Order: sequence, then structure tokens, then C-alpha cells
Amino acid sequence: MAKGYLNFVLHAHLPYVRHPESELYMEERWLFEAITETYIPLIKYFQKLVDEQIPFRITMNISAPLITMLTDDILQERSLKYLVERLWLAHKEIRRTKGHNDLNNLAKFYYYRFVEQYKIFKREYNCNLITAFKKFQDMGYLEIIACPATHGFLPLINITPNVSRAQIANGIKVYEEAFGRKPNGMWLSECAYIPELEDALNEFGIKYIFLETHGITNANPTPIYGTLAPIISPKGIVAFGRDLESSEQVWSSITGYPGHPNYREFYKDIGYEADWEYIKPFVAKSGHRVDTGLKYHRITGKTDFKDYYHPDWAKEIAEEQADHFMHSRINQINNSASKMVIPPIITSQYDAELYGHWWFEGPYWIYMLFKKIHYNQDTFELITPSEYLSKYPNIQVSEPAISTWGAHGYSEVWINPGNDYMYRHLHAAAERMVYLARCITKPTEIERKALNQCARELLLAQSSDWPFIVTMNTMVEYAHKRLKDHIGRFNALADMIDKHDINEEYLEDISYKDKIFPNIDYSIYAK
Amino acid sequence: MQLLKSEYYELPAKYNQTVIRLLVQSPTRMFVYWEVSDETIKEFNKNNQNYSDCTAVLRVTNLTKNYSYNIPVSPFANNYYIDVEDSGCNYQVELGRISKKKFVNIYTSNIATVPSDHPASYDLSKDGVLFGNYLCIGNKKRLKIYGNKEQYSRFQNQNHTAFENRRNGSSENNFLGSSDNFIGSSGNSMCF
Repeated sequence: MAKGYLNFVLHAHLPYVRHPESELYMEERWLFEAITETYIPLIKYFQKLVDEQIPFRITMNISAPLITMLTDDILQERSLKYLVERLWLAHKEIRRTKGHNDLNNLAKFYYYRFVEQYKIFKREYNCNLITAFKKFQDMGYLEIIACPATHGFLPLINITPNVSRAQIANGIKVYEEAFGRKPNGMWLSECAYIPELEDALNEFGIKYIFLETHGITNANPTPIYGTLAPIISPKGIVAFGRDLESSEQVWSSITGYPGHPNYREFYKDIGYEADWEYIKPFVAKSGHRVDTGLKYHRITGKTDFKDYYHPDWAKEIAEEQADHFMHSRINQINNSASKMVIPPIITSQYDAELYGHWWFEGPYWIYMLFKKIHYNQDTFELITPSEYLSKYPNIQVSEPAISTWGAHGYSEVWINPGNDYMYRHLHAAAERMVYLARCITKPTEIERKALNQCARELLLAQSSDWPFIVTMNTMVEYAHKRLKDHIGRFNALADMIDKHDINEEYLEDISYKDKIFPNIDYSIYAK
Repeated sequence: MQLLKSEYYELPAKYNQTVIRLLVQSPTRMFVYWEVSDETIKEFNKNNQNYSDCTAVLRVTNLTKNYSYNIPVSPFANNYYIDVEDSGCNYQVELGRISKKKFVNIYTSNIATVPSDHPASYDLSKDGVLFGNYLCIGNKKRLKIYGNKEQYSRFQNQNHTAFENRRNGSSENNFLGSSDNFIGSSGNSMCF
């Protein structure tokens, strides 16, 4: 019997970046890159584990914007187009690099990789990867959990009544429509916890959440097992806390696994280096040089000189590191199990996009890790939170501490002088939404449509990604614009509702642009 | 293909509402923003010195430790970062103006909890450990509680209504092996 467990959690989320009005938005590429570098590789290795009869367990959060985008016709078509373009580029690269052994081998490596991805994406799942994740959940290997509707950063928007309720309820609604069941757990956006959320979590049937380490270690009363066991709040919400050691082994930018010299270098891409006329069809439609996904170098070391990438060398390292990770967990469990009356559970939670997108070899590492856990040891097993809770239901009662998994552990990333202006508008819109919902209890058909669209615009404006992007100083203008657009659309519609003069053409236009939460009901704001 | 319109929006410069809202950034810093409507200024001017001649002040109150202090702010400011000394406390901020040497309240913020940045001061060896059975939650969202009697009473006193006081027989005492295993609760560990 296992002495302990590993609860491996991936958080998959992207902001809603669907732009049917134009193909010039570079931000849609976030989705395409995540599909080709993270989601398809994960699905490939999940299937491989199933085929090899390895009983793995993994927990995944797939956010509502991501579910919506992965099931959207336009984005599926554009994703397929992106993949076919990669295939074409890799094919051209095989010809271009003829005579250069290292580069030519790499071009072939990418070509076969994209051929395989095309088969998985188009032939196996007909461009809908949600059906793949659902399949693994239905088979019992994967536990998928929900997330607040637009990944809203709840502690900072919880000022107005029903705002967190609406985020939680609509996140769950999209989940249920996609996966045909109720979620047991919820990934609170950015692991941002405040006790005020618990009533809404209870109301919508959420049984457990995940917290940053100090959400557990600073809990009251102090949890006797630290993050090695869940705690249950006085209101009945179970919280699993992030294990520091396993987290650092992967996340750390200095000592983390992804920084190994033999791994693929993320920042050297032929999109920036190839001749402009040659690469133009494969970069952004707006005419900007961007990543193409074809990267020929390895990290090499702290040097500007980058050596060529060798996939076999990288695989060897991934195997060694999977072994190291596994042995570290064995040690951790051996050191703690004897001091505990229940088997320890190590909760290792990561952004899904770290695996494959940032750390190219990450999905293979997961595959090797799960395989090694099955064959090479018997100290611990993989487990999902629901399975653990049904086996070990007696949990220490403790009130989790206010915390997030952002830099410094609190809210600095989402509220600072660069983005604090946003909250004034988010709160004002939320208040107006509540007011409208309470006033209009018997709407006409067109009013109902307009009010539901107001609710969508409010949720989209509340996405934690906009303040995050501003702080990260990446696509700052886009983030400012998105906030302005959603608040602008919300206010324009609310004004029309106030004046009993709804412009149907306008409503239809923005409903088509922001086509998310198909079954939203604005009256949730009225309670 | 649907014809999509191009749009352009700017955020409202003001809402002409009187509001002050307090948000928490970290255990040591809060953020407050405010707006004062024309109507409120008119009202103010009726009873006080001219609004624009009065010093703008934020009165910060630590509700947990029960003390207040004033921070003068620019009359043109509409937000401010407040550094706080005491984490793990509830705070509230009043927006006001000093008129005739007196603080005149214009609006009062929501109450915000500044998180504690350290482990709870809780003596496990003295206070014992409380366990609840997750499977008992069910639809009623209630916990079955095991543990230390005094601690349970304290939770009850804090109005944690989710607890269900079930006095079961001795069979439940044996969950997870011996209840004496609980740190600090040996001797008085019990089941309700």
C-alpha cells in the first residue's frame, strides 16, 4: 500500500482572445501556440499512457474562456490553419537547410511533429480538444475542475454583492456544458483566497480549492501537517496547499528543471532570424515578426552563443529529471509519513502552459514521470483530490489564510500604480449591473438579451489577465484596450436599456464579438 | 460572414457619484480611491467652509485594534496607497475635509481585511487539534467534529454555524486509529 500520494495539478487558462472582426490580432496566437505546444502534446502523452496501461492521475483546471475558445468554430478553423502553416514552413525548411546536417535533422523533427499534431487535432478530435480532455476525465485518469468565469481576481472585485457569485456560477455553468457533470473542485483565479468567497463556493457545490503554501501554513489554527494534508474550513471548504519543494524544482528560474542547457531555447526562433520575404507568410498577419514555433537552438548555458538543439539529448535529461523528481517525492514521503496519522499528499500545481510552451520538453517529462512512478517505486501513488478525500475524509479544521500565488504572495501584481485605475470602472460597472438586475425583473425579450450581454461584458472586463499583462509589461496596450472595450460596451448597452432604446444592430454586433457564456442569466446579480 | 463594426471607447472620466473604496494590496499596503459628486460638494458648502478651500484628509481606522489617524492628501488626488503597521486587522477609511479645524466626513469606505503575513499564534500543545469529517458535509454542508472540547466551544462561540453538534456513541472515537494520536489533544480528545 502506498505510504503517500502525489496530487499533480495543471492550471490551463488563456484570456478570451477571439477576434472574429480581424485576423490582425496577434493575441489569438497565444491560443494557437498553446494548442500546438501544450494541449496537443499533453493529449498525446495522456493517450500514450492509456495505451501502455499506466494508471496515471492528473488534475486539470480548464478555464471557461479556454473551453469557449477551444470549442469555437472560427478559432478552430484558425488554429487548424496555423498548424497547417507550421507544417508547410517545416517542409520548406527541410529544403532550405539541405546540406546542413544539424539544421536539416531539426527541420525534419518539426515536420514529423506537426504531421503527428495534425493527426491528433484534425483526424482524432475534429479540432475540438475539449472532447479529448473530456474523454480522459470520463475514463477516470483526469479530474477536471472549474475556475471563476473569466478568471476574475475575486478579492479585488468582491466589493459589489453577487460579483463573485456570478464569476463562480458562470465558470461552473460553462464547465457543466462542456464536460456533462458537476465539478468537485475549483481553481480560484491566481489561487486568490478570501474567506468571503466560501458562501458562493458552497452555494454552487464546490468542495475543494487550491491555495498557495502560506494559505495553509498561515491558516488558523495552524495546520499540523503543513501542506502535506488538506485542511477544511469551518464552512466546509477543503483546501489543498502548494508544496514548496516540488514546486521549486520545476518553477524556479535559477535551479528549475526547464533551465537545463540541453533543453530547447525559447527565445531563439526563426520568426526573428529568417529572411523577411521568406518568413512573412508564417509570422503575424499584422506584419510583425513573432515566434513561429521553429526553434533550432538549445539553452547551452549563460552565453549568447547558442548551440544546436538535439531532441535526443533533451529527452535524456527529461528522463533523468523525472527520476530526480520521483526520488525527491519518495524522500519527502518517507520523512513525513511516519509522523502522520493519514498518508501525506503532496500537491504540485503548475500553469499548464509551462509544460510544452515555455518548457518544450515538459509534456514528455510528465509522461516519463508518470511511467516511472508506476514501474520504478511503490512508496507513493498519483491521486486526484476527490479520490484522496473519499479515502481520507477526516481533515483538520482550520480557516485558510488570505493569500494568492502571485509574486510576494498577495495582490501586488493585480493592483499597483500601473493598473489600479481599472478597479474604479470595474466596481462602477458591477454596481450598475446589480442595479439593473434588481430593477428589471420582467424584461422584454430585447431587454433580456441586452442585460445578458451586459453581464458578459462585465465578466470579460473583470478578467485578471488585463491587470496582469500591464504589470508584466508585455501586450500592455492590448490589455488597456480590452478593459476599455468591455467597459465601453457595457456602458453603451446600459445607457440604451436606461433610455428604453436598444439598438438591435449594435447589440447583435457586440454579441457576435463577445460570444461567450451562451446560457448566462443576468438575474444572478439581483439577489 | 457577419459585418462587424469598428468601435472606439474611452473610459468615463468620472461617474459623478460619491464613493470611496478600500482595496488590499498586501499585509502592509492598502489602496483607496474616491470620487465626490457635484451634489455632495454643494451639500458640503451649505454647512461648511468652501469645499475647495478645505484640506482633504483620509481618516484611517484600524477597527481591530481600535485606533485612527489622519493622512492629508492633495485636494486633486482621487486615490492613495496607505502603508499600514498592523497586518491581520480590519480597516476602514473615511474621506473628509478639514473645515473650521474640524474633520467633516464626506463618505466612508467598505471594511477591508489586511491579511496576516505570519502563522497564526496558536498553541497546538495547549489548544489541541480539531478534525472534521468531509464526507459528512453532504448537501447540508455540515461537519462532524472531532477534537478538543474547549476548542469546539470556541468555534461555536464564533458563530461557525456550519458545525453540527452531534453527540455520537463511542464508535466514532476510533477514526484514524487512536484519537490519542492527535498532537496536543491526548487525554481530552473527544468526539461530538
